[in-house]
Amino acid sequence: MTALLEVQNLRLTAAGRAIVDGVSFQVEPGESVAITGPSGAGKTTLALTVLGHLRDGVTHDGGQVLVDGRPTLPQPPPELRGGLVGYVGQDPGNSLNPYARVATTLLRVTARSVPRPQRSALVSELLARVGLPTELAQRYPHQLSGGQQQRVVIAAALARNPRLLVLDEPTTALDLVAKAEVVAELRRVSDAGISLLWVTHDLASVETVVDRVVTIGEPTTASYSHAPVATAAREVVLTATGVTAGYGHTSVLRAVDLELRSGELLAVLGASGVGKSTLARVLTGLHRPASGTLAHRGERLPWDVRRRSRAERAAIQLVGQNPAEALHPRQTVRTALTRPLVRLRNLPTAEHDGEIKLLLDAVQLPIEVADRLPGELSGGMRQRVALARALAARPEVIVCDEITSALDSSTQSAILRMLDELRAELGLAVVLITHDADVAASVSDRLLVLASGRVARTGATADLLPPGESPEERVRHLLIDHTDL
Amino acid sequence: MRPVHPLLRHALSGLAGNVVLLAGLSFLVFVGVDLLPGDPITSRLGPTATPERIAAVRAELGLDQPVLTRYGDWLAGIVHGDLGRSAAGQPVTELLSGRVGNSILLACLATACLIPLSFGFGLAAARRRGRPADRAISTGSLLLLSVPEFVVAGFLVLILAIGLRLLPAVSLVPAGSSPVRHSEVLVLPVLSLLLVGLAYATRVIRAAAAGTLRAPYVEFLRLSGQSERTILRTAVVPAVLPVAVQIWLLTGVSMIGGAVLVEKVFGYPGIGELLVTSVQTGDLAVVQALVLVLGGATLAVLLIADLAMVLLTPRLRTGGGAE
Amino acid sequence: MTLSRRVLLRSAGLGAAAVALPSACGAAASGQTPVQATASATPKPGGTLRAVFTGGGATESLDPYVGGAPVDLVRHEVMYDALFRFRGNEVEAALALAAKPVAGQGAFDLELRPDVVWHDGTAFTARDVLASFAYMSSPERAYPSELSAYFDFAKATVTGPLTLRIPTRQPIGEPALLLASYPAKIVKPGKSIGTGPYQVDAFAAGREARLKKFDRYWEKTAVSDELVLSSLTDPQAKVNAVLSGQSDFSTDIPFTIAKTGTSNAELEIRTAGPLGRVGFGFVLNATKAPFKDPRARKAVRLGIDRQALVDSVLLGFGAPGNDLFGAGSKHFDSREPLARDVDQARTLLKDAGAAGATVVFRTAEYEIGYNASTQLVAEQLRELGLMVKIDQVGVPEFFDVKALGQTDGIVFSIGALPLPVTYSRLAAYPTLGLPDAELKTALGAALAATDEPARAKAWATAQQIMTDRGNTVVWGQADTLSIARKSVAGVETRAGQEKYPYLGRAGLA
Repeated sequence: MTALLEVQNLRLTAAGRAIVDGVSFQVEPGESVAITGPSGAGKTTLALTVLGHLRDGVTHDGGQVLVDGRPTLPQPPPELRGGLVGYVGQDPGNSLNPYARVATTLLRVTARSVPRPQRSALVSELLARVGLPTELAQRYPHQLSGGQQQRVVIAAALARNPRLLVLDEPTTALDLVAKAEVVAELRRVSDAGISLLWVTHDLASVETVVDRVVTIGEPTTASYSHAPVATAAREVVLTATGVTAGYGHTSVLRAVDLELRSGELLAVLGASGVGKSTLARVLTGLHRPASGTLAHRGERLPWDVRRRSRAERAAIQLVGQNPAEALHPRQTVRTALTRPLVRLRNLPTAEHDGEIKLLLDAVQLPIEVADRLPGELSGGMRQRVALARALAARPEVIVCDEITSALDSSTQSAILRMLDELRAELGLAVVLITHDADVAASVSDRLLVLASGRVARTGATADLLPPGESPEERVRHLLIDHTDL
Repeated sequence: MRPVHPLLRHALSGLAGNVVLLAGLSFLVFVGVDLLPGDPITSRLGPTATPERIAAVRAELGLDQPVLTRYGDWLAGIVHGDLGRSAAGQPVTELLSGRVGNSILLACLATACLIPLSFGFGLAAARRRGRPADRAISTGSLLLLSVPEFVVAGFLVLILAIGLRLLPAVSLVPAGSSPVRHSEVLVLPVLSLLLVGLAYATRVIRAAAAGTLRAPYVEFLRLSGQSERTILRTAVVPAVLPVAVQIWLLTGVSMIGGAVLVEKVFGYPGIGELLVTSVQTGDLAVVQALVLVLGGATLAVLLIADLAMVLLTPRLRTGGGAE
Repeated sequence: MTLSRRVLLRSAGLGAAAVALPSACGAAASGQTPVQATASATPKPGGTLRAVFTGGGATESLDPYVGGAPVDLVRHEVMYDALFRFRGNEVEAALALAAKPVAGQGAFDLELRPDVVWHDGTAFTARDVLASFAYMSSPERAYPSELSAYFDFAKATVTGPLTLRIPTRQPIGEPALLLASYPAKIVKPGKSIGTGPYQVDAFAAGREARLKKFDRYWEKTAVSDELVLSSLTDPQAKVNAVLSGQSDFSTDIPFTIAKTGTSNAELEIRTAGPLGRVGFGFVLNATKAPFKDPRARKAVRLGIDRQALVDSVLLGFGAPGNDLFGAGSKHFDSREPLARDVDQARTLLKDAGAAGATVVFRTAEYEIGYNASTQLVAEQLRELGLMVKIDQVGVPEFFDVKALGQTDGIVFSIGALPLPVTYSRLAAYPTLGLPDAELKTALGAALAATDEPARAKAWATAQQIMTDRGNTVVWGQADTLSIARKSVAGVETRAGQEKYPYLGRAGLA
């Protein structure tokens, strides 16, 4: 039996550097394979070659990729894309045409003219295949949740019944619940006999679905975890009481209390849409709550960041989930880092270069990165730049909103280790917002679980998540317990 | 009916806002033109007129009233459709009537040609980004942009009208007839207006299309096996349309009054030329009426452009927001 | 007497100050000498003559007392008649046969032409003239006629079916001259019908007028069957209309365009000859220092370089002027211009105590070249030690009364109008006239003189005074140029009416 997919000694270069060097593997029909490796190892680039696509600047230097015996480079055979091989990308929100309704997108992807009377039936069938109700058909992508969007993308990829599905980190941008839905879906797809080529850094979720794992690049390091620090004796740095916030008529947070001591890491857990990001924005002064108070070392803080003094602004910094959107695409890293040095610390120009080197060292990035644009960096590097920018202000509190979800495990570990070192050195307090219970379990000192906008549980991690149980299971129990109450 | 409601609300509030803006504009225009140097009475009667004669004429024309009273009278007149009288005594509405139509005709024709041409060139250049065709289109449009309209008009006249005798050099339309029935006089003025507007619109559309062609969802469509033509039609065109419609509408309305120099070169009987001569001769009533008409038209078109933007963008049309 | 700004505009020359597009690329024959086509060719009867003139946009009118742009005036000349008109330099009878002053009565008797018919077929009588007088002098007119300064129209009476008696406000020796000099068309008030050789067929203000021959005109001199008068405000557009064959004739074209000429064999550049010349210059304010002193005025006249001005402002199309307005009109003193003498000028200035003084000259671009001439004169006067500050303003505010009183000199130009008109217009503005008792006497004598020798003597005296100590500095006589098909013939330029020639006898040869 000829292999469905065969990669023979593939070599891809960009800007003189080899991204993929001599990779070879095979995928048999009906088999599902995961591709894993550290960030920047070329996983995405490799996955795209299966579809015969090379990103700008990437050259095919040697080797070949064969699908069903036919080469995909330099040009794929006509029926390959969509017909033989389907593709599901990482960011579903950006993969769907914002100007077309779901039904229209699905019909177009079938690449044949469907007579009018059969259209709605076909769309319903495609949606049902991924477990979505028919009423979503007339919606626009921005009217769907992240999980629903990703499932529409999968439905589109499956529309022409491909034999191989290439998935590029399909669950990283999703929260716990959505991730579970999608993984289940893909398991069904795999069971139905369609081969999967799944690029991921999160082996845990993939284990149950794939038959084999192929590792590209250096093997991943073990996850980082640290010993919890006794923080009861430390001083309180940030106190939020009775925070109630919402958007328009919708109330998202209800009477949330939060206490943060210097040097500790508080993990905030919860399902997507529960208000974790809102809480982050409230703490940093970007969203005005309807009621509640905020105090920094006992001093009342105005809710609006514009009314805070420079020192107050520097004291609390935010690092968001999507560094690509947080960093100005037209500004070099140096410019991005200089801004807080000037605006929040009023540092004289002569000291800028030295400070930038220090910051880049702290986040373990080489100094050459300083003159690059964000578009030229990998996801992990961008996230580190965003972190360096937050550190540039010498804050006392850093609020991290899902900073590790889009990263592979080794980069994740590196960043978490970095955060730990900074906490130890500077006494930095961190609010880590995440949906990943494993991350929460491994690095946090205290835990705050949000459900339905209220604080479901709060306490020391050691107490809430005793070692031995799967943190994910435990958190789910915590969440469900609360909703039952 | 839900999606229509916010749109209707938006439209009505925009309209109300425009009326307020227009009222404010009319006041500024009225007072501003009034403050122009020169006294219409003494310049009419000469320096040797007696003070009693000057006062009599001033009272006759109502110019001895304070500015606010005159403004109020003028506004009241407008509501009844009376725009006042020019310095020579002709009713302003008469002066404007044919000419406004002529200028609108010119602007509409130029815009009608602008739309398909700028769209075609812009998309073609974006698809062939960096290649010779794109370079040619970008450079050509930059050159045209840098040249003032009346210079373009002058060259067209020199080459096509005087040199090759293909088209008339001047828009001499017989009395009693209109430019529509003598379409050959429209070609060169429309071409002059078109060329400069085309340059600008093409560049904007090219930029928008180039950006869209690099968007992730376009890449997804390509990877799903859609043909380039389908991608253009279903993904790029809808993304470029909101920007393009704005540009087209704004360029079109600016052509109505802004075609002054083109109208002058061709002697085209439009309002641009009327505006210039009235300002030069200090004919206040005509200037006030013209600025009001042009201001009103611009505001109306801006509102339409705004609404078009909302209509063409699904995220805005459905009120945005998810979950 | 009242003098309207508009009339002053007319004598200073109405011009649309627009950008003249350099047509250097297309045309070839530069340095082409303009042809003076007087009565060389005889036009053939019939056909259509198309001409294009500077227009007034939407303010044009068929009423001769409303429209004032050149195209209006051309139209009025062929649609309406005056009582007397000019042929060349001489006054001839039109609707009136004679105007005889009545001795001792302070009035004159007007005798009208018989068998004249209006365009609508009704007969022309003395009552029509009375109605016209009332209409033109009514204060409701935007610019009431200047003739009411000389004649008391309110007390005019009809003495017969074709005769009237009109009282005058001061002794007038030759009423016919005044009736011919000032626009005084005979109309039926409120209707656009006249007694002229052409009647209106179609009219669109600001665009064109179509006139057809009136067969019952009292003079059988009209040639073309139809006249099409097009109206444009841009000088280059006017020329383009002729270049591209859309029109046959256009006058008052800018010197720059005439200089480049045309390569088209069917067209030629023409000059209107001496009757179409316009005197370009300045009027100095003799009511305040430094030009109150005649020596300072003489110094300016000695200090300018006339030929340089003619070459650079008029591009050589014209001749140096002798500081008197009215060249080409009857009784004009055509003596030689003063030669440039900088040393004597400096001496005169020192004597007048004005050495190193700063003066203000007011200018606006009424005519193409006004501002340039002011710049050049300022440079030339700097050599005398006279500092000229240029006050450049926009066209509508140029004749602001207060500003005129405060300035030391303003740009001015008048065509070959009859001397009485020129000097009465200058005298009407307080700062433009020369406050000289002798001059005033001479002017009055010239107006009152009943016979030619007396008139000639009076004008000679007046112009001698102006030469000795006058305040007009006329540095050049500018030609009026036109572009025409070679076959256009019969176009008549009347004295002082260079921008609106008479087309009543014009056609294509």
